[in-house]
Amino acid sequence: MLLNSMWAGLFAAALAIVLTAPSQAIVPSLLCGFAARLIRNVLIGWGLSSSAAVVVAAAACTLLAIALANRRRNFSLIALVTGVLPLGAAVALFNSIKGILIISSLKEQALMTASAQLSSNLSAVFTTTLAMVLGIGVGFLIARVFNLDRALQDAPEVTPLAPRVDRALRR
Amino acid sequence: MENGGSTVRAERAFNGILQGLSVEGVITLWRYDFVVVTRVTDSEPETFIRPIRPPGANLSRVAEASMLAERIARGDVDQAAIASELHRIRDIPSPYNTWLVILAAACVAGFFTRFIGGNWGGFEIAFVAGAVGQTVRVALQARKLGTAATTMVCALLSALVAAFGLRTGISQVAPATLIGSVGYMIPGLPLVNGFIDVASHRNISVGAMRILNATFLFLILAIGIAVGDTVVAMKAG
Repeated sequence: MLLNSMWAGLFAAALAIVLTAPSQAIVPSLLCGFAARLIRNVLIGWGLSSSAAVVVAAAACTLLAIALANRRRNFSLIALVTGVLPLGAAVALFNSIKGILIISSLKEQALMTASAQLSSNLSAVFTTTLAMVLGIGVGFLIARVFNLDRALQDAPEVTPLAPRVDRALRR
Repeated sequence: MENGGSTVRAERAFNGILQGLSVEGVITLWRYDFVVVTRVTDSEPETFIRPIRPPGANLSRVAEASMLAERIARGDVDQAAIASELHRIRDIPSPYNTWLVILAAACVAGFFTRFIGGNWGGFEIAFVAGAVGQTVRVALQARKLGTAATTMVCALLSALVAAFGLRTGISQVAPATLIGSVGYMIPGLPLVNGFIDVASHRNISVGAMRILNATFLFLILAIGIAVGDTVVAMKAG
């Protein structure tokens, strides 16, 4: 579990370099990738569903990215991007697309089996992606409640449609 | 936005600059490939449209632009120096040399393979596939080839390198190795920026375009993987 998380952290740090992030962003990326994957793995190990584990891990990753963001240079976005990517359902995503590409050429039992696999993969991709978005949103919301989002240039401002909610949260 | 920043950040930086210059009565409309700015002075609206080039990635420029906007908002930058500062930021090169980026891309591919279930053999194959793909990617980007075409060529190349590596028997974990081999091109930046834009409720159309763009790039990567998978399956056939 720790080793798997370490690979995720190293993946995130290397991806930060590929994305030309400033050198100060590499360590936050490594920590976010490691922490997000570790939290997800631990929660799944405790019996939590994969989607719920991704929500918690993405929220934790967002908060960690904000906490590690340098106030002057604001590296939170890159730490967030590289940190949450290891939570994605990459294998299911590529299997889905592969399934869509080959399913029309299948017949009878093979078609039924492939259809079931495709549905399962698409469901995994949808729920995992939704869980990531929800987790990021929850992270931003917690940051806003605790007034941490001053350090985060990418935190969405509260829409004018909900000023009362914003005032209530700030109170 | 051209360098990988979110629309929320671009808007915040722009508003900071307006605040620092004490400019009021400005309405801004952000879209994926252009921005419209209207200023009303003496009841006369004046509108500017600025095209936004296809997004790339230089997060150092994004960080510098945010810092400049903060300094302007605080009044720390002389108005006459703003244009030269903007030119300086536009010319900031990647902080890493090409070989380091190629090494990083190879590591991304290798580590991706490892954490989605690949073994050390898969790591080695994906590492080489990632290095070869990124080398070609850098060359194609220098020739100003479009993102989709570059991604397609590099995905096919990396997946084929991985497929031939798998055929030699270095690793038996084909899915993780093939997926990992193109992992350095995963469009994470447009995807997460898209999520942030959609979540902001103010830039839903920009966010939707970014997510659509990322989905299209995922599709290209998957086609490359499917081709690689076919080459691997030919062994069994």
